[in-house]
Amino acid sequence: MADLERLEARLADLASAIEWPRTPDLRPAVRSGLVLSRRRRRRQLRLLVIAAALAVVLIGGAAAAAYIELRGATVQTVPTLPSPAPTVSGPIGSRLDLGARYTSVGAAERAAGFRALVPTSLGQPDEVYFRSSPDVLTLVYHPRADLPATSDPEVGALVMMARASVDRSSFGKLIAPGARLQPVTVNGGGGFWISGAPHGFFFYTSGGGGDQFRLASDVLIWNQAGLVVRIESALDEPRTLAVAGTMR
Amino acid sequence: MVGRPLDEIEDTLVERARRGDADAYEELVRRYTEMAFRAAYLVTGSAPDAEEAAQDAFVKAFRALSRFRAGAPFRPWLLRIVGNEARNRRRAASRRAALELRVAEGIRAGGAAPSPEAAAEAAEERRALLRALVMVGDDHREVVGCRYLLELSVEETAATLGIPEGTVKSRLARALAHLRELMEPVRHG
Repeated sequence: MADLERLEARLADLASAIEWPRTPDLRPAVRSGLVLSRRRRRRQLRLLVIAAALAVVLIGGAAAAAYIELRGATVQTVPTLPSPAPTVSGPIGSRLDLGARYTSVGAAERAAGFRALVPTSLGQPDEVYFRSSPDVLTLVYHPRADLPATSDPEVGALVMMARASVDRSSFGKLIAPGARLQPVTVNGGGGFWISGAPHGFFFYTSGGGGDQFRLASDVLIWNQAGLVVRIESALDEPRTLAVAGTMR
Repeated sequence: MVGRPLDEIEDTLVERARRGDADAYEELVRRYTEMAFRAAYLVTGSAPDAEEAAQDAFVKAFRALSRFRAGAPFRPWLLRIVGNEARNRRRAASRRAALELRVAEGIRAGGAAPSPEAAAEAAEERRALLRALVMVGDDHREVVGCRYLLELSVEETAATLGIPEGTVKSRLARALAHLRELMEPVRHG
């Protein structure tokens, strides 16, 4: 018994002398996940406004409206785009509502529950995010020599992906006259190259409604490996298709 | 170490966080980052994996707060999520990383300053104990690490390691016996 007490005392002494690896500050990464939840409530109110605006647009241009379905995404043509949500300041993840930031693609994959496709021609992303409702994993590439900045000066390319469910969309797009919708095939999967004019982009929430939307520039969106994938960048169609061709 | 009194401030923070107060949750994250990270490190043996596990655990815990029973202790509930995340990463790794812990020099247990000889002897004893702890095997090291190095309660240790409290106690008894055997040459040598 005395030996046990002595050992316990020595373990307690050891505890005070252990050099642990430096504890990281997790608050920024966790906070980005919380921002999503905090903004959700505000968005519920905004959603009513957006829904009303969409209703006006659709009623006004019902004859011209058309839907194009990809697995996991809906592209809808409308006569005019409603006003987008106000631009939000803050880090990329918060501005674009990408969810929680992860330290690696692998970590985000584990949170997402599916394997990410990474464009090998662009290399490993500079930032990785995963958001739920809908479950979307996003790779962020900062601008560089071969990747000019988009309308967001800190973003060279956004590569987003979600499960390609046939009965539920993760991504929604609204395109107005002036935007071109070009059918393409990427790595054997069908998709579209959307270009020519900004289009509205939004996430479908778990309830099936639309989240607040923002304006997006040229986008390639397609189905591959059970996912719906979109690349948003300032690259032209051939170069975007070339990048998409290296998704592994 | 055990029987931690109910922390009213923590209860308030948890309740505010349950209502969606991100600032309150951030304070909980600040309070428990070190504990969560070190617990995950004991399980994974890898600092990057421990960081990811702790980060994911905090995000998942926030999303799961609606299922948290009001008034229940928050630490074991959080540690259960941290432990799950850490074990998932350990399983995903092809092999477990070797736990690397060191003993800080110049630490003294308190009281009067020891002589240089006594300080050197104490430091050597700590290093010997740490070497023995590395040798006892993963299961034993984890349970000893949680109970003595992190000063977790039996309930918290069980939550972290995903085992029943009874298993914590029996495993701890075997681990301490093993440690004593390993330390014999040092004590009598």
